[in-house]
Amino acid sequence: MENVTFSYEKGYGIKNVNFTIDDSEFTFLIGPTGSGKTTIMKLIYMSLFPQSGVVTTGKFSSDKIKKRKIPFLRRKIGMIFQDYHLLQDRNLYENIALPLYVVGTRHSDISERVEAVIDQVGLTGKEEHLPDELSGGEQQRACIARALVKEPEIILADEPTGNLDPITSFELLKLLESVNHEGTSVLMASHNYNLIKGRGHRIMEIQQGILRNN
Amino acid sequence: MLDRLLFLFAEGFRNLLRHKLTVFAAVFSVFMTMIIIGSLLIIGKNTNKLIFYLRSKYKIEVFFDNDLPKRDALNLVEDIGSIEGVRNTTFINKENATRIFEKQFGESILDYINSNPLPMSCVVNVNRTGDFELDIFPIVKEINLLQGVNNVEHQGKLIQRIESYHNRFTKLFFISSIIIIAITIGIIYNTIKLTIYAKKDLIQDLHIIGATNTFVKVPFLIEGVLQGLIGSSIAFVALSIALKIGNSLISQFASMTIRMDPAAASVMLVIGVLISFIGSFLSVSRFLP
Ligand SMILES: Nc1ncnc2c1ncn2[C@@H]1O[C@H](COP(=O)(O)OP(=O)(O)OP(=O)(O)O)[C@@H](O)[C@H]1O
Ligand SMILES: [Mg+2]
Repeated sequence: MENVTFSYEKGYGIKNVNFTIDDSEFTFLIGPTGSGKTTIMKLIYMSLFPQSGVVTTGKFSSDKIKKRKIPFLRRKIGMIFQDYHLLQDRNLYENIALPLYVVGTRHSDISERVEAVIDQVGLTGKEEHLPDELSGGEQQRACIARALVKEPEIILADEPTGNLDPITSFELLKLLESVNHEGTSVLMASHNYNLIKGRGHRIMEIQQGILRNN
Repeated sequence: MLDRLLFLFAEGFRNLLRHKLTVFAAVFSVFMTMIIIGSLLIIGKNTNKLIFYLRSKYKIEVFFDNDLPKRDALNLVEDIGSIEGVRNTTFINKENATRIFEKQFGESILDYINSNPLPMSCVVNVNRTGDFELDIFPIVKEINLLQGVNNVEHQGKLIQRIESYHNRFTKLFFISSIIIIAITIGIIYNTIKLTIYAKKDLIQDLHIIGATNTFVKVPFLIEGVLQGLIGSSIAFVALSIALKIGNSLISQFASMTIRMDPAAASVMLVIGVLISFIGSFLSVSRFLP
């Protein structure tokens, strides 16, 4: 991200933000509520475009990308949200398989891949469960599995522990760390400093749209 | 690719099953539309037969000047034959004229008068196909202008009345079909709109996952087209059954059958699918930009 400024029509946003996330880096983005964390995420997956500056994600940059190409950028990004975003009318397996259908994976390969990530996040045996038949922590694991299944280059986790108790949050963080260990970059937004301190990861701090401490 | 297509089809089906009530409304309206259009097609086909039959009975009788040489009369017949809208001509010489007279009146005119007073004439038949409203007056006028034509007789007023009924019926047929089709397109449009609203989460997620616009849209189009296909298929079956029952009832009184030709069946399916495709396409373009 180079000199990125973005403000919403009604004000607020981020100002002059600069940072780079290297391959297989684990980065925390912390800041109080309303400071612009989600805005940064949206700029990265190009749901928003900066008013000035350039956001480059992989080989796509915000000033050059054609609208048609945005889906292809997003296939390289795994998104995890605070509020899960699982489809309520599909079971765990179907939710996780969805990105593979979008990408166009062969049907015969899909079940193998899905089972592998379900195993990786420790949800084996719950394939048939609908989202509301899973606990919050399990739902968030499912989201991680859904993000992982398409083998993204980077995972953007926007307050993934926001709705979880401290122990579950910590387990989830360790899961993300293990994912990162296998080579996927992770950018995790959080306002829970206690959770992330002392984990040995890079911490970026944002306040009122300005990156304070990088 | 094929797997992805199958997935999209499955999504389309899923949409159908999920929203049973709205889908039922859409399928039912396609069904009603196709029943009406199908009936109109059948009626239209049969009135067409009727108008062709009537038109084949239209004739213009042209009487030539009494002193016109036969050679000139034959030339005239040829001229008349080449007028636009004329299907064929039949020349009637003096001898035939007397024979026709005899047949009509039971007595030979030659019993009363020595020389044959009947002029040569010619019967003109007009084209049956073509215009909604066949107008024989231009033909009559043109014949009247020819040298050697003495008198032209025709059932112009009657023909005009028949033709104007036919014209009105055909127009009514078209206008009502268009109105009904427009209403059904509107209903499909709304059904798909409701499904799109109901699936806002899925759509948003698909976009975040990296689905292309086409991928997001196709299931809705498939859903719409399936509604059309189902509605018009049921309508087709229902009409066929109704015709069968109707014909067996009619056969007790008359040896006549109303047929639905295979073309009408495919026309119905094509219209049904087209209607639903247009409806869902408009909806998808509007609500999934
Ligand atoms: N669509 C929008 N229109 C206008 N203002 C917005 C919009 N979305 C966010 N904002 C504002 O932009 C600022 C940054 O929002 P953002 O969602 O990035 O914060 P955040 O750091 O993710 O906060 P939280 O920790 O609560 O999720 C906030 O002040 C918010 O009110
Ligand atoms: Mg946020």
